[in-house]
Amino acid sequence: MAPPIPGVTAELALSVAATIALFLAISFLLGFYMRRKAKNFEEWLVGRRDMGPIVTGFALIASYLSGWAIFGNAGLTYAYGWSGSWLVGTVSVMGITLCLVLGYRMRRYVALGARTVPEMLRIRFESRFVQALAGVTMIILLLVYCVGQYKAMATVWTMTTGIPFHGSLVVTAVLVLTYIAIGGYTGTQWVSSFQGILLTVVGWVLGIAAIIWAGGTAKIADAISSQTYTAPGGNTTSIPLGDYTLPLPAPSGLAFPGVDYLGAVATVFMFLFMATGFPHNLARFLGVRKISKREYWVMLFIIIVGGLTPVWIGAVGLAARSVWGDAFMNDSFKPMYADSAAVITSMSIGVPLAALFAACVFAAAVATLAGMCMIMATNVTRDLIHNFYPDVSHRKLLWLTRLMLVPFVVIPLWWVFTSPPPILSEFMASSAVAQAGIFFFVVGVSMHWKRATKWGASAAMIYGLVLALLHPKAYGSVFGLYHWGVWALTLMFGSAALYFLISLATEPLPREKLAPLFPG
Amino acid sequence: MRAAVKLLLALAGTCVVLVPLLAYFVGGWQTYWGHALLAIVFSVLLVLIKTRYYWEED
Repeated sequence: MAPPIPGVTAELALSVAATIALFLAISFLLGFYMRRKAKNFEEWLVGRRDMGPIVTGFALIASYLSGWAIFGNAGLTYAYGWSGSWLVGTVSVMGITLCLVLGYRMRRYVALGARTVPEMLRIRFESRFVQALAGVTMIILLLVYCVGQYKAMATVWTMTTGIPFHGSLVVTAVLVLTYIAIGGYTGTQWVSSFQGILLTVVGWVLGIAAIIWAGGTAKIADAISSQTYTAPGGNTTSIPLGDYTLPLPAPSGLAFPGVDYLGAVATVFMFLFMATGFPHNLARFLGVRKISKREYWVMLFIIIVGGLTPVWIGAVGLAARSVWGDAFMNDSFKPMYADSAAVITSMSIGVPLAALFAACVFAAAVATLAGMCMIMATNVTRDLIHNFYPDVSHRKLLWLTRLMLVPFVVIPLWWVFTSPPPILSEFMASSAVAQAGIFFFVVGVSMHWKRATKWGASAAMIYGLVLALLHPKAYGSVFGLYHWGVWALTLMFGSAALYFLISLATEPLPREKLAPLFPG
Repeated sequence: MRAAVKLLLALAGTCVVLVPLLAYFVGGWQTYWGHALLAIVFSVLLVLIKTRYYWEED
Protein backbone atom coordinates (compact mmCIF):
# COMPACT_ATOMS: atom_id res chain seq x y z
CA MET A 1 0.00 0.00 0.00
CA ALA A 2 1.56 3.31 -1.14
CA PRO A 3 1.84 6.07 1.46
CA PRO A 4 -0.48 9.04 0.85
CA ILE A 5 0.91 11.90 -1.23
CA PRO A 6 1.72 14.64 1.30
CA GLY A 7 0.13 18.06 0.93
CA VAL A 8 1.06 21.56 2.05
CA THR A 9 1.02 22.15 5.80
CA ALA A 10 1.69 25.32 7.78
CA GLU A 11 4.76 23.69 9.36
CA LEU A 12 6.18 22.79 5.93
CA ALA A 13 5.47 26.20 4.39
CA LEU A 14 7.08 28.00 7.35
CA SER A 15 10.10 25.70 7.34
CA VAL A 16 10.63 26.17 3.61
CA ALA A 17 10.28 29.95 3.87
CA ALA A 18 12.64 30.08 6.87
CA THR A 19 15.29 27.88 5.23
CA ILE A 20 15.21 29.83 2.00
CA ALA A 21 15.36 33.10 3.96
CA LEU A 22 18.40 31.78 5.85
CA PHE A 23 20.03 30.71 2.60
CA LEU A 24 19.38 34.11 1.06
CA ALA A 25 20.68 35.91 4.13
CA ILE A 26 23.97 33.95 3.99
CA SER A 27 24.21 34.51 0.23
CA PHE A 28 23.54 38.23 0.50
CA LEU A 29 26.02 38.64 3.35
CA LEU A 30 28.72 36.81 1.42
CA GLY A 31 27.90 38.71 -1.76
CA PHE A 32 27.81 42.08 0.01
CA TYR A 33 31.02 41.49 1.94
CA MET A 34 32.92 40.41 -1.18
CA ARG A 35 31.37 43.14 -3.30
CA ARG A 36 33.04 45.80 -1.15
CA LYS A 37 36.37 44.48 -2.31
CA ALA A 38 35.65 45.19 -5.98
CA LYS A 39 37.25 48.55 -6.78
CA ASN A 40 36.34 48.83 -10.45
CA PHE A 41 34.39 47.27 -13.30
CA GLU A 42 37.24 44.87 -14.13
CA GLU A 43 37.27 43.54 -10.58
CA TRP A 44 33.50 43.35 -10.53
CA LEU A 45 33.72 41.08 -13.58
CA VAL A 46 36.56 38.73 -12.65
CA GLY A 47 37.52 39.51 -9.06
CA ARG A 48 41.19 39.76 -8.11
CA ARG A 49 42.17 36.43 -9.64
CA ASP A 50 42.85 35.07 -6.18
CA MET A 51 40.27 32.24 -6.01
CA GLY A 52 41.64 28.96 -4.71
CA PRO A 53 40.80 25.40 -5.82
CA ILE A 54 38.09 24.75 -3.23
CA VAL A 55 36.10 27.93 -3.94
CA THR A 56 36.53 27.48 -7.70
CA GLY A 57 35.73 23.75 -7.56
CA PHE A 58 32.49 24.19 -5.64
CA ALA A 59 31.54 27.27 -7.68
CA LEU A 60 31.98 25.17 -10.81
CA ILE A 61 29.76 22.48 -9.29
CA ALA A 62 27.12 25.10 -8.40
CA SER A 63 27.06 26.56 -11.89
CA TYR A 64 26.91 23.06 -13.42
CA LEU A 65 24.18 21.81 -11.05
CA SER A 66 21.27 23.78 -12.40
CA GLY A 67 17.57 23.19 -11.81
CA TRP A 68 17.95 20.36 -14.33
CA ALA A 69 20.44 18.37 -12.27
CA ILE A 70 19.28 19.04 -8.73
CA PHE A 71 15.59 18.88 -9.46
CA GLY A 72 14.62 17.90 -13.01
CA ASN A 73 16.57 14.65 -12.93
CA ALA A 74 14.05 13.12 -10.57
CA GLY A 75 11.33 14.06 -13.06
CA LEU A 76 13.21 12.28 -15.83
CA THR A 77 13.60 8.95 -14.06
CA TYR A 78 10.12 9.23 -12.60
CA ALA A 79 8.58 9.69 -16.06
CA TYR A 80 10.83 7.42 -18.14
CA GLY A 81 12.32 4.89 -15.68
CA TRP A 82 15.86 3.71 -16.51
CA SER A 83 15.73 5.26 -19.98
CA GLY A 84 15.38 8.67 -18.31
CA SER A 85 18.84 8.20 -16.85
CA TRP A 86 20.46 9.09 -20.19
CA LEU A 87 19.51 12.70 -19.54
CA VAL A 88 20.23 12.47 -15.81
CA GLY A 89 23.92 12.69 -16.56
CA THR A 90 25.23 9.62 -14.76
CA VAL A 91 28.44 10.41 -16.67
CA SER A 92 28.44 14.11 -15.72
CA VAL A 93 31.78 13.74 -13.94
CA MET A 94 33.43 13.01 -17.31
CA GLY A 95 32.29 16.32 -18.79
CA ILE A 96 33.06 18.43 -15.72
CA THR A 97 36.58 16.99 -15.60
CA LEU A 98 37.07 17.83 -19.29
CA CYS A 99 35.97 21.36 -18.38
CA LEU A 100 38.57 21.41 -15.59
CA VAL A 101 41.32 20.16 -17.88
CA LEU A 102 40.50 22.47 -20.81
CA GLY A 103 39.07 25.44 -18.93
CA TYR A 104 41.99 26.15 -16.61
CA ARG A 105 43.76 27.78 -19.55
CA MET A 106 41.27 30.66 -19.30
CA ARG A 107 43.78 32.12 -16.81
CA ARG A 108 46.20 32.76 -19.65
CA TYR A 109 43.61 34.86 -21.47
CA VAL A 110 42.64 36.80 -18.36
CA ALA A 111 46.31 37.78 -18.05
CA LEU A 112 46.07 39.06 -21.64
CA GLY A 113 43.02 41.18 -20.86
CA ALA A 114 40.00 38.88 -21.35
CA ARG A 115 37.15 39.50 -18.95
CA THR A 116 34.45 37.39 -20.63
CA VAL A 117 34.47 34.17 -22.65
CA PRO A 118 33.83 35.99 -25.97
CA GLU A 119 36.67 38.40 -25.12
CA MET A 120 38.89 35.38 -24.77
CA LEU A 121 37.84 34.46 -28.32
CA ARG A 122 38.67 37.95 -29.58
CA ILE A 123 42.17 37.59 -28.17
CA ARG A 124 42.52 34.03 -29.47
CA PHE A 125 41.45 34.89 -33.02
CA GLU A 126 42.17 38.64 -33.09
CA SER A 127 38.61 39.12 -34.32
CA ARG A 128 35.94 41.46 -33.02
CA PHE A 129 33.43 39.67 -35.24
CA VAL A 130 34.07 36.32 -33.50
CA GLN A 131 33.63 38.01 -30.12
CA ALA A 132 30.33 39.59 -31.15
CA LEU A 133 29.05 36.38 -32.78
CA ALA A 134 29.92 34.37 -29.65
CA GLY A 135 28.12 36.97 -27.50
CA VAL A 136 24.95 36.77 -29.59
CA THR A 137 25.09 32.94 -29.72
CA MET A 138 25.42 32.76 -25.95
CA ILE A 139 22.49 35.09 -25.39
CA ILE A 140 20.17 33.01 -27.59
CA LEU A 141 21.12 29.66 -26.05
CA LEU A 142 21.28 30.83 -22.45
CA LEU A 143 17.82 32.39 -22.64
CA VAL A 144 16.39 28.94 -23.40
CA TYR A 145 18.38 27.42 -20.55
CA CYS A 146 17.06 29.99 -18.08
CA VAL A 147 13.48 28.85 -18.70
CA GLY A 148 14.12 25.56 -16.92
CA GLN A 149 15.53 27.31 -13.85
CA TYR A 150 12.35 29.28 -13.40
CA LYS A 151 10.18 26.20 -13.72
CA ALA A 152 12.26 24.39 -11.07
CA MET A 153 11.89 27.21 -8.58
CA ALA A 154 8.21 27.78 -9.21
CA THR A 155 7.41 24.08 -8.84
CA VAL A 156 9.12 23.85 -5.46
CA TRP A 157 7.43 26.98 -4.16
CA THR A 158 4.04 25.79 -5.34
CA MET A 159 4.38 22.27 -3.95
CA THR A 160 5.74 23.29 -0.54
CA THR A 161 4.01 26.56 0.24
CA GLY A 162 0.85 26.54 -1.81
CA ILE A 163 1.83 29.89 -3.36
CA PRO A 164 0.54 30.05 -6.94
CA PHE A 165 2.99 28.98 -9.65
CA HIS A 166 3.08 32.38 -11.35
CA GLY A 167 3.45 34.41 -8.15
CA SER A 168 6.60 32.60 -7.05
CA LEU A 169 8.15 33.21 -10.47
CA VAL A 170 7.95 36.97 -10.04
CA VAL A 171 9.40 36.95 -6.52
CA THR A 172 12.34 34.85 -7.64
CA ALA A 173 13.08 37.08 -10.61
CA VAL A 174 13.36 40.09 -8.29
CA LEU A 175 15.69 38.18 -5.95
CA VAL A 176 17.97 37.12 -8.81
CA LEU A 177 18.25 40.70 -10.00
CA THR A 178 19.12 42.07 -6.58
CA TYR A 179 21.54 39.27 -5.85
CA ILE A 180 23.70 39.76 -8.96
CA ALA A 181 23.59 43.54 -8.80
CA ILE A 182 25.04 43.42 -5.29
CA GLY A 183 27.58 40.66 -5.72
CA GLY A 184 29.39 40.90 -9.04
CA TYR A 185 31.87 38.17 -9.90
CA THR A 186 33.66 37.82 -6.58
CA GLY A 187 30.37 37.81 -4.74
CA THR A 188 28.80 35.26 -7.06
CA GLN A 189 31.94 33.10 -6.95
CA TRP A 190 31.90 32.89 -3.14
CA VAL A 191 28.14 32.51 -2.97
CA SER A 192 28.24 29.89 -5.70
CA SER A 193 30.85 27.98 -3.77
CA PHE A 194 28.64 28.00 -0.66
CA GLN A 195 25.74 26.84 -2.82
CA GLY A 196 27.84 24.10 -4.40
CA ILE A 197 28.56 22.65 -0.95
CA LEU A 198 24.88 22.89 0.03
CA LEU A 199 23.68 21.25 -3.19
CA THR A 200 26.16 18.41 -2.89
CA VAL A 201 25.37 17.60 0.73
CA VAL A 202 21.59 17.79 0.38
CA GLY A 203 21.59 15.94 -2.97
CA TRP A 204 23.51 13.03 -1.52
CA VAL A 205 21.40 12.93 1.67
CA LEU A 206 18.11 13.08 -0.26
CA GLY A 207 19.21 10.37 -2.68
CA ILE A 208 20.29 7.96 0.03
CA ALA A 209 17.23 8.74 2.18
CA ALA A 210 14.87 8.22 -0.77
CA ILE A 211 16.30 4.79 -1.58
CA ILE A 212 15.94 3.71 2.05
CA TRP A 213 12.44 5.26 2.25
CA ALA A 214 11.33 3.32 -0.86
CA GLY A 215 12.49 0.01 0.59
CA GLY A 216 15.92 -0.38 -0.97
CA THR A 217 17.42 -0.71 -4.43
CA ALA A 218 16.08 -4.20 -5.19
CA LYS A 219 12.52 -3.21 -4.38
CA ILE A 220 12.79 -0.09 -6.52
CA ALA A 221 14.19 -2.07 -9.48
CA ASP A 222 11.38 -4.64 -9.19
CA ALA A 223 8.73 -1.92 -9.13
CA ILE A 224 10.21 -0.08 -12.12
CA SER A 225 10.39 -3.24 -14.22
CA SER A 226 6.70 -3.91 -13.64
CA GLN A 227 5.52 -0.46 -14.72
CA THR A 228 4.70 1.09 -18.09
CA TYR A 229 5.09 4.59 -19.51
CA THR A 230 2.39 7.19 -18.91
CA ALA A 231 2.44 10.42 -20.89
CA PRO A 232 1.93 13.83 -19.20
CA GLY A 233 -1.83 14.18 -18.94
CA GLY A 234 -2.37 10.60 -17.77
CA ASN A 235 -2.48 8.63 -21.04
CA THR A 236 -1.19 5.17 -20.14
CA THR A 237 0.68 2.92 -22.59
CA SER A 238 1.98 -0.66 -22.61
CA ILE A 239 5.62 0.42 -23.12
CA PRO A 240 7.67 -1.05 -20.22
CA LEU A 241 9.96 1.18 -18.11
CA GLY A 242 12.36 -1.64 -17.24
CA ASP A 243 14.88 -1.12 -20.08
CA TYR A 244 17.45 1.56 -20.85
CA THR A 245 15.54 2.47 -24.00
CA LEU A 246 11.88 3.47 -24.20
CA PRO A 247 10.50 2.82 -27.70
CA LEU A 248 7.93 5.60 -27.79
CA PRO A 249 5.83 5.67 -30.99
CA ALA A 250 7.14 7.64 -33.98
CA PRO A 251 7.24 10.35 -35.00
CA SER A 252 6.70 12.39 -31.80
CA GLY A 253 8.30 9.75 -29.57
CA LEU A 254 11.56 10.00 -31.50
CA ALA A 255 12.11 13.40 -29.88
CA PHE A 256 12.85 11.59 -26.58
CA PRO A 257 16.63 10.98 -26.24
CA GLY A 258 16.20 7.57 -24.62
CA VAL A 259 14.00 6.22 -27.43
CA ASP A 260 16.89 4.06 -28.76
CA TYR A 261 20.66 3.65 -28.47
CA LEU A 262 21.37 6.28 -31.10
CA GLY A 263 19.74 8.87 -28.85
CA ALA A 264 21.48 7.36 -25.82
CA VAL A 265 24.92 7.66 -27.45
CA ALA A 266 24.10 11.26 -28.37
CA THR A 267 23.43 12.05 -24.70
CA VAL A 268 26.83 10.59 -23.73
CA PHE A 269 28.55 12.98 -26.15
CA MET A 270 26.33 15.82 -24.97
CA PHE A 271 27.48 15.28 -21.37
CA LEU A 272 31.09 14.95 -22.49
CA PHE A 273 31.07 18.31 -24.28
CA MET A 274 28.43 20.18 -22.31
CA ALA A 275 30.28 21.28 -19.17
CA THR A 276 33.04 22.86 -21.27
CA GLY A 277 30.47 24.24 -23.69
CA PHE A 278 28.63 26.09 -20.92
CA PRO A 279 30.15 29.58 -20.86
CA HIS A 280 28.96 30.08 -17.27
CA ASN A 281 31.14 27.10 -16.28
CA LEU A 282 34.22 28.37 -18.09
CA ALA A 283 33.65 31.79 -16.53
CA ARG A 284 34.45 30.16 -13.17
CA PHE A 285 38.10 29.99 -14.26
CA LEU A 286 38.31 33.72 -14.96
CA GLY A 287 39.14 34.50 -11.35
CA VAL A 288 41.17 31.44 -10.34
CA ARG A 289 44.70 31.89 -9.04
CA LYS A 290 47.63 29.73 -10.05
CA ILE A 291 47.14 26.31 -8.48
CA SER A 292 49.52 23.46 -7.79
CA LYS A 293 49.24 19.86 -9.02
CA ARG A 294 48.10 18.78 -5.57
CA GLU A 295 45.37 21.45 -5.62
CA TYR A 296 44.35 20.24 -9.07
CA TRP A 297 43.64 16.80 -7.57
CA VAL A 298 41.67 18.51 -4.80
CA MET A 299 39.53 20.13 -7.50
CA LEU A 300 39.00 16.74 -9.13
CA PHE A 301 37.87 15.30 -5.79
CA ILE A 302 35.35 18.13 -5.42
CA ILE A 303 34.17 17.54 -8.99
CA ILE A 304 33.67 13.82 -8.39
CA VAL A 305 31.75 14.31 -5.14
CA GLY A 306 29.69 17.21 -6.50
CA GLY A 307 29.29 15.69 -9.95
CA LEU A 308 27.63 12.59 -8.50
CA THR A 309 24.82 14.72 -7.06
CA PRO A 310 22.69 14.47 -10.25
CA VAL A 311 22.95 10.66 -10.03
CA TRP A 312 21.48 10.73 -6.52
CA ILE A 313 18.66 13.01 -7.65
CA GLY A 314 17.88 10.60 -10.48
CA ALA A 315 17.60 7.86 -7.85
CA VAL A 316 14.98 9.96 -6.04
CA GLY A 317 12.77 9.86 -9.15
CA LEU A 318 13.10 6.08 -9.40
CA ALA A 319 12.19 5.76 -5.72
CA ALA A 320 9.14 7.99 -6.19
CA ARG A 321 7.99 6.02 -9.23
CA SER A 322 8.34 2.73 -7.36
CA VAL A 323 6.22 4.02 -4.48
CA TRP A 324 3.51 6.11 -6.15
CA GLY A 325 3.42 4.69 -9.67
CA ASP A 326 2.37 7.21 -12.33
CA ALA A 327 0.27 9.38 -9.98
CA PHE A 328 2.11 12.63 -10.88
CA MET A 329 1.54 12.22 -14.61
CA ASN A 330 -2.14 13.11 -14.46
CA ASP A 331 -3.54 16.58 -14.94
CA SER A 332 -4.03 17.30 -11.23
CA PHE A 333 -0.26 17.92 -11.17
CA LYS A 334 -0.24 20.17 -14.25
CA PRO A 335 2.06 21.95 -15.17
CA MET A 336 4.60 20.30 -12.84
CA TYR A 337 3.79 16.64 -13.69
CA ALA A 338 6.85 14.37 -13.19
CA ASP A 339 8.91 17.32 -11.96
CA SER A 340 6.85 17.11 -8.74
CA ALA A 341 8.56 13.81 -7.85
CA ALA A 342 11.64 15.10 -6.03
CA VAL A 343 9.92 17.67 -3.88
CA ILE A 344 7.02 15.38 -2.89
CA THR A 345 9.43 12.59 -2.02
CA SER A 346 11.41 14.98 0.18
CA MET A 347 8.15 16.06 1.85
CA SER A 348 7.25 12.44 2.48
CA ILE A 349 10.64 11.73 4.09
CA GLY A 350 10.35 14.66 6.48
CA VAL A 351 9.84 18.41 6.81
CA PRO A 352 13.51 19.29 7.59
CA LEU A 353 14.75 17.53 4.47
CA ALA A 354 11.95 19.03 2.36
CA ALA A 355 12.88 22.52 3.58
CA LEU A 356 16.57 21.97 2.88
CA PHE A 357 15.81 20.53 -0.54
CA ALA A 358 13.60 23.51 -1.38
CA ALA A 359 16.47 25.84 -0.45
CA CYS A 360 18.76 23.73 -2.61
CA VAL A 361 16.58 23.94 -5.69
CA PHE A 362 16.27 27.64 -5.07
CA ALA A 363 20.06 27.88 -4.73
CA ALA A 364 20.69 25.86 -7.90
CA ALA A 365 18.23 27.84 -9.92
CA VAL A 366 19.35 31.21 -8.52
CA ALA A 367 23.06 30.40 -8.96
CA THR A 368 22.58 29.26 -12.53
CA LEU A 369 20.20 32.07 -13.41
CA ALA A 370 22.47 34.65 -11.80
CA GLY A 371 25.52 33.33 -13.64
CA MET A 372 23.69 33.20 -16.96
CA CYS A 373 22.01 36.59 -16.66
CA MET A 374 25.35 38.15 -15.74
CA ILE A 375 26.98 36.52 -18.76
CA MET A 376 24.19 37.65 -21.09
CA ALA A 377 24.33 41.21 -19.74
CA THR A 378 28.10 41.37 -20.18
CA ASN A 379 27.66 39.83 -23.65
CA VAL A 380 25.79 42.99 -24.56
CA THR A 381 28.01 45.52 -22.79
CA ARG A 382 31.49 44.02 -23.24
CA ASP A 383 31.10 41.87 -26.35
CA LEU A 384 28.89 44.14 -28.39
CA ILE A 385 28.98 47.74 -27.07
CA HIS A 386 32.53 47.91 -25.69
CA ASN A 387 33.77 45.74 -28.56
CA PHE A 388 32.68 48.25 -31.19
CA TYR A 389 32.79 51.44 -29.05
CA PRO A 390 35.87 50.97 -26.84
CA ASP A 391 35.77 54.59 -25.62
CA VAL A 392 32.65 54.08 -23.50
CA SER A 393 33.61 54.61 -19.85
CA HIS A 394 33.77 51.68 -17.45
CA ARG A 395 31.33 53.42 -15.15
CA LYS A 396 28.75 53.56 -17.92
CA LEU A 397 29.42 49.93 -18.81
CA LEU A 398 28.90 48.84 -15.23
CA TRP A 399 25.56 50.60 -14.98
CA LEU A 400 24.53 49.38 -18.41
CA THR A 401 25.41 45.81 -17.41
CA ARG A 402 23.20 46.13 -14.35
CA LEU A 403 20.40 47.58 -16.47
CA MET A 404 20.72 44.79 -19.03
CA LEU A 405 20.07 42.24 -16.29
CA VAL A 406 16.42 43.28 -16.34
CA PRO A 407 15.49 42.02 -19.85
CA PHE A 408 17.50 38.86 -19.36
CA VAL A 409 15.64 38.08 -16.17
CA VAL A 410 12.26 39.00 -17.66
CA ILE A 411 12.37 37.25 -21.08
CA PRO A 412 12.68 33.64 -19.78
CA LEU A 413 10.26 34.55 -16.99
CA TRP A 414 7.67 35.49 -19.61
CA TRP A 415 8.36 32.24 -21.48
CA VAL A 416 7.59 30.13 -18.38
CA PHE A 417 4.54 32.26 -17.66
CA THR A 418 3.06 31.57 -21.08
CA SER A 419 4.23 28.02 -21.89
CA PRO A 420 6.01 26.06 -19.14
CA PRO A 421 7.75 22.92 -20.50
CA PRO A 422 6.15 19.66 -19.19
CA ILE A 423 9.49 17.96 -18.30
CA LEU A 424 12.08 20.65 -17.78
CA SER A 425 15.26 18.61 -18.20
CA GLU A 426 14.16 17.39 -21.61
CA PHE A 427 13.57 20.99 -22.63
CA MET A 428 16.89 22.24 -21.27
CA ALA A 429 18.78 19.47 -23.07
CA SER A 430 17.96 21.18 -26.37
CA SER A 431 19.98 24.24 -25.37
CA ALA A 432 22.67 22.08 -23.77
CA VAL A 433 23.32 20.19 -27.02
CA ALA A 434 23.82 23.44 -28.93
CA GLN A 435 26.13 24.90 -26.27
CA ALA A 436 28.06 21.63 -26.15
CA GLY A 437 28.39 21.36 -29.92
CA ILE A 438 29.43 24.96 -30.41
CA PHE A 439 31.49 26.10 -27.47
CA PHE A 440 33.31 22.89 -26.61
CA PHE A 441 35.20 23.30 -29.87
CA VAL A 442 35.11 27.06 -30.38
CA VAL A 443 36.30 27.84 -26.85
CA GLY A 444 37.61 24.66 -25.22
CA VAL A 445 39.53 23.22 -28.17
CA SER A 446 40.67 26.60 -29.53
CA MET A 447 42.56 27.31 -26.30
CA HIS A 448 44.66 24.21 -26.99
CA TRP A 449 44.78 23.90 -30.79
CA LYS A 450 47.01 26.43 -32.53
CA ARG A 451 45.64 25.64 -35.98
CA ALA A 452 42.08 26.86 -35.17
CA THR A 453 41.01 29.91 -37.18
CA LYS A 454 38.32 32.55 -36.84
CA TRP A 455 36.66 31.14 -39.96
CA GLY A 456 36.37 27.66 -38.47
CA ALA A 457 35.06 29.08 -35.19
CA SER A 458 32.52 31.34 -36.93
CA ALA A 459 31.28 28.52 -39.17
CA ALA A 460 30.79 26.25 -36.15
CA MET A 461 28.78 28.92 -34.31
CA ILE A 462 26.53 29.77 -37.26
CA TYR A 463 25.95 26.11 -38.10
CA GLY A 464 25.21 25.26 -34.46
CA LEU A 465 22.66 28.07 -34.17
CA VAL A 466 20.87 27.03 -37.37
CA LEU A 467 20.78 23.38 -36.29
CA ALA A 468 19.47 24.40 -32.85
CA LEU A 469 16.39 25.76 -34.59
CA LEU A 470 15.92 22.37 -36.23
CA HIS A 471 15.32 20.62 -32.89
CA PRO A 472 12.65 17.93 -33.46
CA LYS A 473 10.21 19.87 -31.27
CA ALA A 474 10.99 23.22 -32.94
CA TYR A 475 11.36 23.38 -36.74
CA GLY A 476 13.06 20.02 -37.30
CA SER A 477 9.82 18.22 -38.05
CA VAL A 478 9.23 20.59 -40.99
CA PHE A 479 12.34 19.08 -42.60
CA GLY A 480 11.62 15.51 -41.49
CA LEU A 481 14.08 15.70 -38.58
CA TYR A 482 12.13 13.85 -35.87
CA HIS A 483 14.89 11.89 -34.15
CA TRP A 484 16.58 13.62 -31.19
CA GLY A 485 19.73 11.51 -31.45
CA VAL A 486 20.15 12.23 -35.16
CA TRP A 487 19.59 15.94 -34.51
CA ALA A 488 22.00 16.10 -31.56
CA LEU A 489 24.77 14.14 -33.30
CA THR A 490 24.31 16.18 -36.50
CA LEU A 491 24.60 19.38 -34.50
CA MET A 492 27.59 18.40 -32.35
CA PHE A 493 29.66 16.55 -34.95
CA GLY A 494 28.59 18.85 -37.77
CA SER A 495 29.89 21.80 -35.75
CA ALA A 496 33.07 19.88 -35.02
CA ALA A 497 33.59 18.92 -38.66
CA LEU A 498 33.10 22.49 -39.87
CA TYR A 499 35.35 23.84 -37.13
CA PHE A 500 38.23 21.49 -37.95
CA LEU A 501 37.88 21.38 -41.74
CA ILE A 502 37.44 25.11 -42.26
CA SER A 503 40.23 25.85 -39.78
CA LEU A 504 42.57 23.56 -41.68
CA ALA A 505 41.55 25.13 -44.98
CA THR A 506 42.18 28.72 -43.83
CA GLU A 507 45.17 30.64 -42.53
CA PRO A 508 45.76 30.69 -38.76
CA LEU A 509 47.22 33.71 -36.98
CA PRO A 510 50.94 34.29 -37.63
CA ARG A 511 53.30 32.43 -35.34
CA GLU A 512 54.44 35.57 -33.48
CA LYS A 513 50.85 36.45 -32.61
CA LEU A 514 50.17 32.94 -31.35
CA ALA A 515 53.32 32.87 -29.25
CA PRO A 516 51.87 34.55 -26.12
CA LEU A 517 48.82 32.25 -26.30
CA PHE A 518 50.83 29.05 -26.72
CA PRO A 519 54.16 29.60 -24.95
CA GLY A 520 56.61 26.74 -24.82
CA MET B 1 52.76 11.79 -28.04
CA ARG B 2 54.24 9.37 -25.51
CA ALA B 3 53.15 5.73 -25.42
CA ALA B 4 51.97 6.11 -21.83
CA VAL B 5 49.70 8.99 -22.80
CA LYS B 6 48.30 6.99 -25.70
CA LEU B 7 47.57 4.10 -23.36
CA LEU B 8 45.86 6.34 -20.80
CA LEU B 9 43.80 8.02 -23.55
CA ALA B 10 42.80 4.60 -24.91
CA LEU B 11 41.67 3.58 -21.42
CA ALA B 12 39.68 6.82 -21.08
CA GLY B 13 38.09 6.19 -24.48
CA THR B 14 37.19 2.66 -23.40
CA CYS B 15 35.31 4.12 -20.43
CA VAL B 16 33.15 6.14 -22.85
CA VAL B 17 32.53 3.18 -25.17
CA LEU B 18 31.51 0.99 -22.23
CA VAL B 19 28.67 3.35 -21.23
CA PRO B 20 26.08 2.24 -23.84
CA LEU B 21 27.41 -1.34 -23.83
CA LEU B 22 26.82 -1.62 -20.10
CA ALA B 23 23.25 -0.40 -20.53
CA TYR B 24 22.58 -2.84 -23.37
CA PHE B 25 24.10 -5.93 -21.78
CA VAL B 26 23.55 -5.40 -18.06
CA GLY B 27 20.81 -2.87 -17.17
CA GLY B 28 19.26 -1.92 -13.82
CA TRP B 29 21.18 -0.40 -10.92
CA GLN B 30 24.46 -2.02 -12.00
CA THR B 31 24.36 0.11 -15.15
CA TYR B 32 23.18 3.20 -13.29
CA TRP B 33 26.09 3.17 -10.82
CA GLY B 34 28.42 1.58 -13.36
CA HIS B 35 28.10 4.69 -15.50
CA ALA B 36 29.11 6.86 -12.55
CA LEU B 37 32.08 4.59 -11.84
CA LEU B 38 33.22 4.73 -15.48
CA ALA B 39 32.97 8.51 -15.32
CA ILE B 40 35.19 8.59 -12.22
CA VAL B 41 37.82 6.34 -13.82
CA PHE B 42 37.74 8.51 -16.98
CA SER B 43 38.25 11.63 -14.88
CA VAL B 44 41.15 10.26 -12.88
CA LEU B 45 42.87 9.20 -16.13
CA LEU B 46 42.38 12.64 -17.65
CA VAL B 47 43.75 14.51 -14.65
CA LEU B 48 46.63 12.05 -14.48
CA ILE B 49 47.53 12.88 -18.09
CA LYS B 50 47.21 16.60 -17.40
CA THR B 51 49.26 16.72 -14.22
CA ARG B 52 51.88 14.19 -15.23
CA TYR B 53 52.48 14.90 -18.91
CA TYR B 54 50.91 18.25 -19.81
CA TRP B 55 51.23 20.38 -16.70
CA GLU B 56 51.52 24.02 -17.60
CA GLU B 57 53.26 26.67 -15.55
CA ASP B 58 52.30 30.31 -16.00
